[in-house]
Amino acid sequence: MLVQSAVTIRASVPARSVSAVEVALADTQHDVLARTTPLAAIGGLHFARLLMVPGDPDVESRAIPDSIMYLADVDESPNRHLRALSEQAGRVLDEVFSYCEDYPAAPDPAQRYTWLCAHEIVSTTNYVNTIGRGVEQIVQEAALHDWLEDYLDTHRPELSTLTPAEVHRTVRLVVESTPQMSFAIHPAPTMPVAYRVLALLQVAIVLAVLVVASPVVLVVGIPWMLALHYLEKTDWFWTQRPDAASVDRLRSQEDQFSYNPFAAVGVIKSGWLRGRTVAIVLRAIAFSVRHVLNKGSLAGVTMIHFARWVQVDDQRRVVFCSFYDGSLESYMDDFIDKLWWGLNLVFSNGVGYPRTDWLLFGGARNEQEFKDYLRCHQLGTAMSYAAYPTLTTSNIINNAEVRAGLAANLSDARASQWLARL
Amino acid sequence: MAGATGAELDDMQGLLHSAFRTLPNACFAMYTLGEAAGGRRFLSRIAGRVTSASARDVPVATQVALSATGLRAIGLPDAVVGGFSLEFQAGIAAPQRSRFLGDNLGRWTWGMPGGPRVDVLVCTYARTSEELHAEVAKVDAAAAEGGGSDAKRLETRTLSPTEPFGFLDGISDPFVPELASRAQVANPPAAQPVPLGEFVLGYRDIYGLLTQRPVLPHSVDPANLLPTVPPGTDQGNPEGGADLGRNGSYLVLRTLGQDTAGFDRYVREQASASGLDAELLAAKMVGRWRSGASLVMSPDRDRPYLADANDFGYNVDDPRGLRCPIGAHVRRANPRDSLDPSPGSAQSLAVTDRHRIMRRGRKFIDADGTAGLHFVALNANLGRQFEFVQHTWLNNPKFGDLYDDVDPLVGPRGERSVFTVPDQPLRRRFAGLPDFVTTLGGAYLFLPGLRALHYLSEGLW
Repeated sequence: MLVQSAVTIRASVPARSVSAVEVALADTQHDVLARTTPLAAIGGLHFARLLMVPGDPDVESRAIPDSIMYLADVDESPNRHLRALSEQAGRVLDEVFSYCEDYPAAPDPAQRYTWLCAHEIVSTTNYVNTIGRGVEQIVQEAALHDWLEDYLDTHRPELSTLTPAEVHRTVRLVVESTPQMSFAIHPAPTMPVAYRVLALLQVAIVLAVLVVASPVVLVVGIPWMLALHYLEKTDWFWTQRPDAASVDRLRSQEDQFSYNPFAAVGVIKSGWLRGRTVAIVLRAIAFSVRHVLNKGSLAGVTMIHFARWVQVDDQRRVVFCSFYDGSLESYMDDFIDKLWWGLNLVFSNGVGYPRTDWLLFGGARNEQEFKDYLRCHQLGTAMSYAAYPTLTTSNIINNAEVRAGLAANLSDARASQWLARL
Repeated sequence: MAGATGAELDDMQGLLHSAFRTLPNACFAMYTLGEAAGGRRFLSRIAGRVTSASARDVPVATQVALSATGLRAIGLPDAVVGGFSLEFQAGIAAPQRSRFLGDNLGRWTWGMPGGPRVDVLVCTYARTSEELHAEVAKVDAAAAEGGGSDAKRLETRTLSPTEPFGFLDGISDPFVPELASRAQVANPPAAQPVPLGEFVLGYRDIYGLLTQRPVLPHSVDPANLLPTVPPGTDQGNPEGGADLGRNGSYLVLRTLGQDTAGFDRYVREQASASGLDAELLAAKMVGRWRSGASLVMSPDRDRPYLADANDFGYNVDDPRGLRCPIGAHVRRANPRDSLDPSPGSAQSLAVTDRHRIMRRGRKFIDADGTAGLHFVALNANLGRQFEFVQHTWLNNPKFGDLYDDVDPLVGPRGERSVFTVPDQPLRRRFAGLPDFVTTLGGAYLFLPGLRALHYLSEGLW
């Protein structure tokens, strides 16, 4: 069984080294583009990124230093990934993290591993497009898809005289007898029954607790919402427009592949209520993306591969990162059209977000203010690596369906639907 | 000034209302301005000639638009230019934007960095070429008198409603009741109306908001030339002010060279190799037959009487693209009901409507035989409308859950590019598509309202 995990490393870096780190980060990205990055050899790695998170001289009168973050989405436990990273991608780690004051001077894999473990942050709120679908499966099924397309191109004359069911049968026989494709005759692994039962049980327990505690939830929730609503009405709002030069810098890193990395950082509004609201909302999201929204769609938004919210700096700031398909404009439009309420829940507790109403309404629906807010808080992703940079989430899902349909015995109608996927 | 609908047609330029189809001769003249006062003098000389959206049956029409460099050249302060959208400020030929739009600036003959700067665009339309040239000569004289020089001149003549590949063009423009002709209002299309604010600044857009535009402090409009935004009426400008944007629009001008011989040759060759009828293959690429009839309505052959039959959905009528391929040009340019959420629903149509443009282009055939389209689009939000359609729909190989498909007519080709024609039992794939359309020039311009144009020519800021 496989459940993806999210790995997050964060280490502060002295202000004097920031420009040197930026050069090192650009170098690691160069390796990705030249396909020489050692990350490619690490098994089970879907996506990885390195980015600079600027500090803040004064959040609640305490300074936050500049820092480097490494984030990865992997098919194994964080510890195993960190070990593999220490052994196989030491060059990347050394090049970037050697600017951190506590990084070992002449590190061996064991020292790197120890250092990484010391700088690991646990992120509790992680979205995975489809839980349980590993890198190996995604890459294999993509190869199957491409192989089938080529097969159909070269054999179209003889195949096009057959019925859909006959075409399907013919293709299956060929796949069976082709060693590097014969894996596809067996269905992809699914989550074991025990896991699914356990997950259902968790949902049931949480629902039961909510029902039992509903009087308490109401008694606490109503004044809570009223207090938040008061803050919404009285918080100071201002419109901030992104400056052309920084948008240009961000755009220069975007639209290189069919996916894009997004990253942003925001300061949580001061006060106990905002801090607790963020913590509760993030926990609720963590629960729903794990147990409900885990099959290819985040409440209607289908183009996200992975996403995560990480509370940092003693819960004073939140870093949001995602890998999504298409342009930032289409991503933001999807947010505004389909997921406005979800964004409002979290981001409205952040400084500078457009004014919301009752935590859910307004906010992201103020199109221009919302887009300006995202651009103003966006961070460049200096290095981003993907194991499958040309596949969209819809390609991945379609490939999985192609494989799933291959093994079955299909009627003409079903075979025709299956062939429409190719 | 406000009409029954609240739309101030007499303060808008006429292109928002119509493409001046009764005036077949047109000239798009672009100028580089000299010093600021001369530039403003030029504007003030031609401002009085500009045809408004309330004028009807004029023999000659003149429209004026300025680029961001043009606004700076007449001395408009940076802070005011900064009130326009970032896309407009940077221009269409900014490096990141060319990559995003799929443009190869190496092929451009105008509008590229290093070429003559496009500051002002004057579009002149006339019934006869004599009337056209007489009018253009007056504009030229005004430009020269103000110290302006020629940057580029595009001349067009439209004698038939088909574009150079031979297909009827301009069928599905968005329906905006305030801008529609009397005939359209009497007999409205089946499509949902799109709000005026999607095309004209200063009106409610599809989110019910006023799109970003420059609203100035009253102190820089001492003569009260501009429309007023009362305090508390615009979420983006809570204090109100003088509205430089109102009744204006963003105008995208692109010269698209079309290889008509190459298109015919490719279709002929591929048709004989694949056993498809050549006309059918051409129609599959476009998504409509030459007459304009949609493949959804008429999948097997051209039925010219169906050219006006525009009331169909892609998901509802043809979800797998067996009639009109998913990647066909018109299905990409306006996917109607075929995208998330819930394809086939009103919700899907509503999401598509957030990305509509108003097309006002003219085709051209040069003396050397080069043919193509001077593409003109009007919209209120370049990023969400024109650029989105260009990048996310037309140029995107992943459009509609596809893998490596490009728009077979206009999309930039990659190594793996194909065009997929769904069929039963098996789809056909066409590879090795040559470039049929090449962008040869372009500019982002602001088509101001008439009062705004007057304000710009006065320079009282």
